[in-house]
Amino acid sequence: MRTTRLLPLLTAGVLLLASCGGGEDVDTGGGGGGGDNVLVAAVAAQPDQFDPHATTAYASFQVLENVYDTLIVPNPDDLTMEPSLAESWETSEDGLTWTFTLRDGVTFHDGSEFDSADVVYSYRRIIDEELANSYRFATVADIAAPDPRTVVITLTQPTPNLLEQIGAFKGMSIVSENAAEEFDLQTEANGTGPFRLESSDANSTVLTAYEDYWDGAPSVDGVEFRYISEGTAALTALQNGEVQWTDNVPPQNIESLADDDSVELGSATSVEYYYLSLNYDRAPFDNPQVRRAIATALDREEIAQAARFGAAQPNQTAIPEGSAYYLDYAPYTPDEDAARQLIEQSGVPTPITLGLMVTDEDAESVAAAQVIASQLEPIGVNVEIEEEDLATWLDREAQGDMDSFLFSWIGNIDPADFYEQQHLSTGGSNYQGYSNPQVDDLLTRASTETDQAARKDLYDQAARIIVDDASYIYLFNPDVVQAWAPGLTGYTIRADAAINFENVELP
Amino acid sequence: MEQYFRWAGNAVTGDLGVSFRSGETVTSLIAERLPATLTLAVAALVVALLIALPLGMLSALHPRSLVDRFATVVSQLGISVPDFWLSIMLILIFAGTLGWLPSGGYVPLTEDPWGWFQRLILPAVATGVVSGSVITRFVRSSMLEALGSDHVRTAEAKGLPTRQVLSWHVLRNALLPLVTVTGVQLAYLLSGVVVVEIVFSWPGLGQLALQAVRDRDFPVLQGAVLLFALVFLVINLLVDLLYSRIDPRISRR
Repeated sequence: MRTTRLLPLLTAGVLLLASCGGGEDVDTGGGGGGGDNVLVAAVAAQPDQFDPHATTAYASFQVLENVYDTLIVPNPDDLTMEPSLAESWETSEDGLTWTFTLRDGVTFHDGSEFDSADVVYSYRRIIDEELANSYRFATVADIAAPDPRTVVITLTQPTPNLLEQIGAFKGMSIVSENAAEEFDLQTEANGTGPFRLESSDANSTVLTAYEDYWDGAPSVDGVEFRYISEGTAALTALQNGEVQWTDNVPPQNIESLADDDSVELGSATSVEYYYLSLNYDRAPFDNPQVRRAIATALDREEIAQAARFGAAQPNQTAIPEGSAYYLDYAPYTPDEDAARQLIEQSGVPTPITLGLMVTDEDAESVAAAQVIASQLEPIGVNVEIEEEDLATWLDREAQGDMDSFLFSWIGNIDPADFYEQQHLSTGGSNYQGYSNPQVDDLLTRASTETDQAARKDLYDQAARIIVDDASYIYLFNPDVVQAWAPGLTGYTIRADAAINFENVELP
Repeated sequence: MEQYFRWAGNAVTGDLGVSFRSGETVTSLIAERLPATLTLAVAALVVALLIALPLGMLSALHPRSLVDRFATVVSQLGISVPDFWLSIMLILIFAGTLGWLPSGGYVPLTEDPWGWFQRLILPAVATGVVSGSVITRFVRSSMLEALGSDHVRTAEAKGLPTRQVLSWHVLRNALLPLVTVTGVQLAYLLSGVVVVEIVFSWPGLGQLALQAVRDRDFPVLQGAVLLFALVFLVINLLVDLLYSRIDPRISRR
């Protein structure tokens, strides 16, 4: 199981298919009794808790995705923002006031009606108690509810990605007013989503369909999330029909599953990205030519093949192809001679010894590091792989105690999530010590640019420089791979790895 | 230091603190996992003894025979085969290819006795084989020792029927080391068989402890370790008490 630092960001909003205007379908066919129409999904881990504002665990968000709603949600296909609990919104001329009109006829699982007071309560709870995602409200000055159907958010500076901030994932869920006082949110839930949280134990978490869901009751009667941490066991359970869906597919099994009729395999390039970075504080790795030489020597295809058995898309920037913010920019072609030449030009004597820090808790990192070591050897860079447990890895990273480090970030949706903290000279995650005034300027301007096209252009310019300077040497975007029973319909595999069973129908 | 004593003081009253990860009390987390671990431990021990007693006795009665060699090979294999490999093989064969049994999970006995039993078989075999292999060797060696002892020769010389010699003079004496090693094995099983629990998604203490290690959830880990230590102490005490039952000479000394 991979632990990635931005785990909460991996999850995102409800599938809000514009196409499902069907209202309440009454299923009269359906074969066996009601109990048979329950989807059993094998997931890798047990949720730590069910408070959407407090948890940071992917295992929890897998469940919460189906229980709670947010004002805005990412479209499952390209992750652009769509209405959910908010039907529409307007921005003032100066970009400082956002007015959201809320959907009518939405009820919480306890029967109470949804209105603007619930939104204010939920957001204030995140901000005032400084919960996991309060940073997403960094530019929010005030949240007001002038009437039951309207919420007004006032900002301290224009925030073009406000929709992504409040809608990207279920960490920004709307809970009912005073929910934290009326419910034990760690173990109970009161959301507006398509399923209610029924029960949870060390074995599984059970959801039941919420018949009064505002977008029409789900097709299945319920979902059981069964924890199966061993991939082989999860696949066997899928093959012999104990479960109908799993995301626990070991990359090495993907090839053999492709010809397996008892399993349907789905994959999508994820918003996660793997990178390698060299420490600017340690010579000769501050030398731009040495950095570029290393970026040039790497064969990303080979690295992705070794790390993910090919279930990944090599990429020289962070944002995956398919995202609206994708930038097609690949200046490096794997070339040993060119790389050797760059090192010669740099005047740095070879062999160069490069410590490469990876965490042994992520098998992909270790495999990637081994391939990188063999690719850099011919150009006179001797890589010494340093395997650390995650806590030590993070510690050393924070202290800058490494020549180079390799890992992944979950970039999520907005380009700010991909580039800002890592490459601003004051960025909180800029552990490599990168500082380029031009990039600083571009990123700062982009963060308040309200014109979307101009904003993308600013991020594109920044990304090009980041890649050219090799602040990060981007490697690949891993695929999200999931498998389900043949004939299961209504499920969309998503780049942000959020799983939503609202429209799933069993075979 | 002070923190530790506070924790120890609370622990005596059953208050082991609160999990960093979930906010639940450690006591309730452990209580939730205990039935699954107990079930698996007992079932695995049954499997172990079913393997060890017949195999060990047969090979002791016919040393160097084919049976003996077979038993040696089997127990050597049982000890050396990694349990995760055996577990995955069992899943692939019995849940995958043959489709006879579920691939894992846990259902409480009270909810679905048949489902409970089905899910218990594979993990019990996977753990039982290892323990059984260890015990087999002890059964064999202690039986052999008892068989060669003077009082057995005397009993045989007196013309007692073989069956009586075996059950009274041999088995009873061979039982002592057997009880010891069985006790140790049981304590080991009760401490949560981490790997097997993970592979079979068996929600026991081993899984809980491993998760606590991963999440740096110290209160849970501390609670689990305390429990494991207690289990060892209690079982060793019980074993010692059993000694005097089996061998009255011990209590007289």
